[in-house]
Amino acid sequence: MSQQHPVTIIMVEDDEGHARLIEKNIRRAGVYNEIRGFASGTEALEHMFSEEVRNDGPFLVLLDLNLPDMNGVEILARLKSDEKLKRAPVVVLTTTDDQREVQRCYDLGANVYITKPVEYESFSQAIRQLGLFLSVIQVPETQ
Amino acid sequence: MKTINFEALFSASPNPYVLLDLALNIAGMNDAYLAVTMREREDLIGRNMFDAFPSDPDSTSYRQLRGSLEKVIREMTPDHLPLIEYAIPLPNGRGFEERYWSATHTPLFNHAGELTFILQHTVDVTELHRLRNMAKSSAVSSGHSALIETDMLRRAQAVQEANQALDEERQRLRGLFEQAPGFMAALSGPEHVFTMANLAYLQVVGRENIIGKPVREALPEVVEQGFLDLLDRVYRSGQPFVGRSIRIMLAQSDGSGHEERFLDFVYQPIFDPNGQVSGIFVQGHDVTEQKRNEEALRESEQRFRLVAESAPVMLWMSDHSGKCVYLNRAQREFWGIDEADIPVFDWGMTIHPDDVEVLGGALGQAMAAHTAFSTEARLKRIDVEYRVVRTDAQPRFSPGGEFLGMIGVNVDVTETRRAEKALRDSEERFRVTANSIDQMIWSTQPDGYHDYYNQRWYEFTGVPEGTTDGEAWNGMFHPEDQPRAWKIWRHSLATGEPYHIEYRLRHRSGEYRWVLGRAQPVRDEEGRITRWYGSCTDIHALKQAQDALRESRERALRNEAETRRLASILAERVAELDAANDEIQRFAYIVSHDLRAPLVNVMGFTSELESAQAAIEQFYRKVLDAQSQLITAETRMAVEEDLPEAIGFIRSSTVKMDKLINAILKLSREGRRVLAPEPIVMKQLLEAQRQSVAHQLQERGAGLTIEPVPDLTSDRLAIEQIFGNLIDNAVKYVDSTRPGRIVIRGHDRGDNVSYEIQDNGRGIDAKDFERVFDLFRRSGAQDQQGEGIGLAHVRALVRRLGGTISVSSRLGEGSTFTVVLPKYASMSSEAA
Repeated sequence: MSQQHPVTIIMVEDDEGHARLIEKNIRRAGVYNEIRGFASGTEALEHMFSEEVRNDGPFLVLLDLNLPDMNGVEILARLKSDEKLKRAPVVVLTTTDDQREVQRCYDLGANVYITKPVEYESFSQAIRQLGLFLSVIQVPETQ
Repeated sequence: MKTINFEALFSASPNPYVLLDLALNIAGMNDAYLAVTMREREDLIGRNMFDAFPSDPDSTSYRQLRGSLEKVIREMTPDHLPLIEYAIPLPNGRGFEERYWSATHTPLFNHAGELTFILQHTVDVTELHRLRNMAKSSAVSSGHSALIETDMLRRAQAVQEANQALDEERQRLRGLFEQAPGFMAALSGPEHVFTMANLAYLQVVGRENIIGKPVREALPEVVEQGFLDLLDRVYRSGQPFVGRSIRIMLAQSDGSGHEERFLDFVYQPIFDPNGQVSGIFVQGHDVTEQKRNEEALRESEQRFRLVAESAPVMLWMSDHSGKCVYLNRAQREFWGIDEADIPVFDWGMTIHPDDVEVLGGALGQAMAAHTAFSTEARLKRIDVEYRVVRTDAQPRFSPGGEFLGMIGVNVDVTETRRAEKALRDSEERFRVTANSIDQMIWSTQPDGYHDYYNQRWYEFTGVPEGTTDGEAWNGMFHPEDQPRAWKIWRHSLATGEPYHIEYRLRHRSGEYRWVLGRAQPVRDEEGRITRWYGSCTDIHALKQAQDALRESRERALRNEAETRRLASILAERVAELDAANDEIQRFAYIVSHDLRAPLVNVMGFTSELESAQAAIEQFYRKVLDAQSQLITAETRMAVEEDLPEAIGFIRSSTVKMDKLINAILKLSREGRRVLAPEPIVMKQLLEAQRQSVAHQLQERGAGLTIEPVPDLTSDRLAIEQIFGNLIDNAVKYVDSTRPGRIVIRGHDRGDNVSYEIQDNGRGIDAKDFERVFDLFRRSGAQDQQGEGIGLAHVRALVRRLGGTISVSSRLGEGSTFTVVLPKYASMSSEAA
């Protein structure tokens, strides 16, 4: 992680509870990067594709698939087909563990796929591991 | 202008002159001539040259002089005789004196340009000649001038000799020219200039005035045709060229185009004394007519051969002795011989021994009398089968009327004869059969006139033979059926359509019996009806049975229609159900997903609450220790009991709900999975499952026996889940009061296979037989782990595979689950 450009976490999650739990657990893992939350796909895309944000990396995207306005897979596809944003790691977080969906996300370029377990211990464990993951990965500059 | 006296000049000339007419009679001479010949004028005038100066006609002198004179007459140009030895008689009758002359013969023409006289100017060179001979004999001592004289004379003589030889050659050629029926021409030099051409040549090329012109100019059209190249080659190489039937296109003199001619010719090089080619002699014949005749003949011959070869009948030709000279392809194939074999082929060997006399006799007689003949005989074909062959032959004669042999056509009539015989046989057989069969048979003329009934007809009707001929048959029918029968019969007669009718015919007992009448026309090759053949079959009993049958059949049809209607309604319902089922699958899938999301929150925040409660409780303990008076009973109750209890219930309920959702998700996924049938060895599959429950079996002291089971082709995963669940259940629900015994057996039932999983466990109450297969429903004491989805899942899978599952059980004695599956599962994934 570059000292000059700490990674910004962009969280696309319509469920406020989930968003809160995810944030709590990321913090508990000792990760204090900026987290920008978006409750709809449209808002998230608007933000990420605005010129200042698009050119102001690096990012990490936490993406829920069940969004009210669009399928998260579509957001994933758009990010991965953008010249700059495609370098941003995307962590897919969703309630389903349907193998076809998992496969599809990886095919489109998702870096990590995490199923949200109902059992909270597992869930917080998973998020905390993600936090560890965030602290060690090198996120490339978008420029 | 002074008139010159030519006669005086002539007479006074010192040069000797003599004037000859065209008959070579001496017409006049000057004095110098008389002096040199030592003769008198009267002695010579009016006499023939060769009378006046006789010489041996065979001598060179005679031929030289005569040739020169004749040449002048012919060519109308002067001719020179540089040196001629010609003896003249001495005046005193003492014999002849040898003299040498040098003469010039000049043609003289009248005003009309016609040749009238020849003027001979002759010089006596005897002295010179003698000098030359002297010089020759004493060449060494002779002077310079004498030598020159001698050379000149020698040259003159050589030229003369050459001229003479040439002249002789020319004369010979001319003779040939005149007599030759073919065309001839002589070409000179590298440009092939025509120096001679006979009449035949001029006729062939169709033009005159070619003498003196090169070929290129005289016959421009042949240049492109390569003849000039040929001439050049002959001229260059000195090799003659012989051409046979060479085609040449010659321009027509009237300019109407080109005429095609065929020529046989020779280009013969002419060599000069040095062996160099100096010209080409062309000689040949116009063979155009011959060529055309040949071609016409060949064409007509070819046409005949072509026609004969491809003729569908066999053709042959013999010579006057009866020997084959030609067999066409059909005939050769019949005997299996090649064209080359014809001369040595003895066709007589192929005649059937019994027919030798017939065929040999007819042929022999025709050959002897030169007449036509027709006969039929059996000939052995290449496949060794004797075929009946009809022969029609004609004598053939040359244009001169000479008998050349026979020409004939052979036709294989085996099939025709066989068919004719078969027809005769079949007619006979028909007659016999018709009278011996049970049916009534009749036959009519093309117009419908009945002229034949078999015996059975008369036996049935009991009427005398012949009484139903013509149209009288109609009277034998039931009055109610007569008009209908008559109408149908007339219709068949008019259209040729088969006759088919049921009617009542009067039996000899007086009873009308139902009869089936049928008739078919028989047609000739042109499609004309030659006869009608009909039959009547007594169907009285049949008819009665048929009526009964028809009634029951109508009933059946009504039932069938009803069944079909119900089936279609059923199919509709099934389709609706399938659609509804699909919808439920999708619904279940979506709902289960969406249900999980809030559950994540419930669980998550419950955990948060738990840790908050732990913090509160810690604080409560501190307060209790320090200032217990602050703690009310209510507070104590809330912190110590209500909060942990509430959180506990939320937690356990959420866990249960998650399990239920997972179960629904699993079922709905199973319904969406595409089946992949493959051959499965059941014994192996079940053994593997026994291994996976070996631990539990041992723990509970139970035994699992696998009896022989049939294999099947199905979806492996589904089969594993079905049997895995059933075996799990059997192991799970053993009766603890006796050793568990589980038996798996199977049966092959044709298209299906059935498997039974029997246990001696606690059993299921009969009222729960259906319930156990429902989702989330269980039976009996709930003392085992499980959500009640195992059997629901199993049933869903079995149904998808196109099978059924049922249970039979006695409470306290054990259960038997029976799974029936198709031996070969269909590929459809829509069967859920």
